[in-house]
Amino acid sequence: MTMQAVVSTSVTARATGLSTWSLPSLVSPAEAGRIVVSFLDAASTSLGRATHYNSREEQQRAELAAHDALLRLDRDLYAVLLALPGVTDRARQVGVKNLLGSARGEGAKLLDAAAERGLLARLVRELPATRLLKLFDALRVGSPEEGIRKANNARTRKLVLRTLLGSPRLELWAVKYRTKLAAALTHAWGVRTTSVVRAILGKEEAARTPKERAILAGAIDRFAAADRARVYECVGFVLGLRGRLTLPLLTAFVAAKGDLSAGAALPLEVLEGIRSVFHPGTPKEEVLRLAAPSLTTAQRMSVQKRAEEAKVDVRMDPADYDAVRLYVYAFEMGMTVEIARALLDKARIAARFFPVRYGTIGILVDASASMAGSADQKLRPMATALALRDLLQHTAQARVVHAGGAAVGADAMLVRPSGDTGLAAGLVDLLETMPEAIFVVSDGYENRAAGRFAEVVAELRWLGDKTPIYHLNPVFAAEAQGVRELCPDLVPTLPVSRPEGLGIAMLRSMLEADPARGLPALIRLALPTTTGDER
Amino acid sequence: MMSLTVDEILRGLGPGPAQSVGQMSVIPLLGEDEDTLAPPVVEVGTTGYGTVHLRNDGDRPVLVPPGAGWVVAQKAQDHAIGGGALLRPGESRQIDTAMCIQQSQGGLIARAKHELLILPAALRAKALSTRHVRDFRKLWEGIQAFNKRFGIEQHGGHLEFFTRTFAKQLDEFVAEFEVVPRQVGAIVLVGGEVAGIERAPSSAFWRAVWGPLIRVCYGSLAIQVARESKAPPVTRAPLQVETRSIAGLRAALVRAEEAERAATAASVRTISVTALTAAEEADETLGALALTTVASPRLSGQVVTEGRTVRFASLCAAA
Repeated sequence: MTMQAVVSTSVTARATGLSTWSLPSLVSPAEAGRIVVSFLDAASTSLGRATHYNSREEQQRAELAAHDALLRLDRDLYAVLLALPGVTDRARQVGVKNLLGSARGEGAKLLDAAAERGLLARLVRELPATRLLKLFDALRVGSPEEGIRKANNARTRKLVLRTLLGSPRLELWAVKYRTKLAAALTHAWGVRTTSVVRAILGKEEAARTPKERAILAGAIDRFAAADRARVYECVGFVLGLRGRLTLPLLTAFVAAKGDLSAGAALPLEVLEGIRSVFHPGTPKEEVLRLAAPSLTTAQRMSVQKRAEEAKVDVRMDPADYDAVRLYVYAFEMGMTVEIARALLDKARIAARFFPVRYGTIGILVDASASMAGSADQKLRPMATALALRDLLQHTAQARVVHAGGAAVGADAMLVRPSGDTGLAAGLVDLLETMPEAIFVVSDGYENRAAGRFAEVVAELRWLGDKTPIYHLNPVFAAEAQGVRELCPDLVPTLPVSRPEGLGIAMLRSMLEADPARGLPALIRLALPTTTGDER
Repeated sequence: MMSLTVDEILRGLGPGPAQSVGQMSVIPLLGEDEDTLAPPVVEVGTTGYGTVHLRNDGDRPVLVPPGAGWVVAQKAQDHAIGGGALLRPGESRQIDTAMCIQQSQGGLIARAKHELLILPAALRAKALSTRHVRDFRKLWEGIQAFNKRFGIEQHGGHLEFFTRTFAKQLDEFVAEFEVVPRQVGAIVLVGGEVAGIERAPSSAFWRAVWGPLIRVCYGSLAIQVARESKAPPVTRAPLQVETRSIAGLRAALVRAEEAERAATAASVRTISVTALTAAEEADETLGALALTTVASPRLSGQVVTEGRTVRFASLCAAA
């Protein structure tokens, strides 16, 4: 049997690379491994919120301590790991602040300055708009409870301006987040410059003096995307200018106050806001009808039922959603060829980031009733299990066994959870095919009989069979204070709440077992993902 | 009706594969749905100590199962009823023989669809036998003795002392024992012996009562037995591999499952011909439905019959 870490050959040219990197000499490999594992746990699971067991403050203290420890250990390693698939937006938000708030050392081994700038730009660009603007706001006023202190150094200002003014979504943001955008720009430019920029933008272009043009060039042009006029108009709009508007969303925003139908291109919530203030007599369904073509991808999925009831055609492209959401959606609305195709494409892409390679694997999917999950996250555990199954199937020649459940459709891609949990027989079924590794996706509740799975594994080891078995658990069991294990000591249980996090979970497991080999494997996984725009 | 055997009570149902965790095993009983009785989702409140107000706002008759209780988060005294209650569609009913299960708490339960609890198996017989007694204090002594058995030294008839102390284990039971398709009942074994027989009219009814049954009613019994004995029950066979190979492992798995099936079947056989004597008069009737109390030296509880056909049964081992 062979298991080898994937060695990517496409490491970005701007990263100085793994060949020059070594474990920090001040700590032992075991200690370095512990720090990285702690960071990975925080970065892949923590949302900075209270849990059943810990207050928000306790959670955040622990989380920030994990960030700080890795930042102190190796700043480059910290930056690189932030780019890993599966790292939460919240962790990236904290990470960007930490990187902006600390100086690059002399001995950077993984990223040169340009590569780090690119990485920062990418991390920021990929944050959801709301979180991005929250980060910028926190950099402006500070947010100690989120571990974010005020920052207004040149790097920060440039990053804010590049991200906002260089975004192809600036026009959309201008109508959707006017106040926050104005605050972020004012923070980056300062109140005086902002006021000057506003005054200049209020003039006809031909009336601007050379000095005024130079001010705009310094404040806007060097950070802006190619279409300067568009950026000027958006910035003016954000700063309160309403004259000479030409861009469709901006003109729609103004026109919709008089005629709601003129705002059809506006985001649903913006149009809804205008309706409630300026057209309170118009029914909400009318807003959905008008905004249908301009709904965001998330809205397209969430309004499907409402749209069906209101007989409004809202098209959604399955490719725009993550695999878990698609499976949850398919459970509710039915599997279609398009959804199935999108799921397989996503699995294929996600499999590229899987850090280990096997020739053959077995996948045991627990599809028993408990995988339906709780009322507030209905079917999410099963959806996650199916998405993990699809991903794993693209990493090796795979045999899949579903324990329990009812397959829906001829291809059995969708499996509705039902019945009891007997995992031992499925495990033996897989062992007979002599796979190089076995992955068991289960919430850890076994009842035919409880403990039978562990008995089989114990006997298997006694027989001398060392086939690696991994338990992937998509459910955080409150009463188990973490994830529930199927076979403590013999089978590692990896918490995985989404397929993108599987690579981290596997590497975390490797790191615990062998930090000296696990860390380079982790960097190999992360480095190709660090590429970003730089200027 | 003078007597009923367990076989008769279970007529028309077939067993599914047993589920087993720790000291508890559950044999799901599978059957067809029939819509005589809607699941017990009713409005509940108290109008005085010992008086429970029930309202069925649905369009089908409802059975509130025997031993039903309501432990609420409000500052109000938790209550339970000893026997079941049949409610017509739209019917409101005051039951003034209910019992308080939270001794020193004052206050009345505001009317709402509160979460159902079924009294611990060890308290069911006492609650049932005093179902006609008008004394809201009647279970306090029993609850205090019950709590003491679990090492709970706090004074008073407070069932919530137990549910709070063992909340984690009780929650686990709900997650561990899964409802299977077409399930309308179960035979519950604790420590290898039959502790309860449950039958519901439909799988929807079953889903509504299974959580309360497994969590507190039978879960309490499993905790008690686990505290007394660490040895696995006779219904749990160890895996014994004779041939050192994967095929040998599979054979051992099959043997263990067969041994467990046989041990479970043997336990069930000991009660299948048990005759339960029925009370001469039904506790309640609703059209052709009759709610009757039945008892034997080993089991007691209530059944709902329609002619000779059993629609519902909830029988607990006598404590």
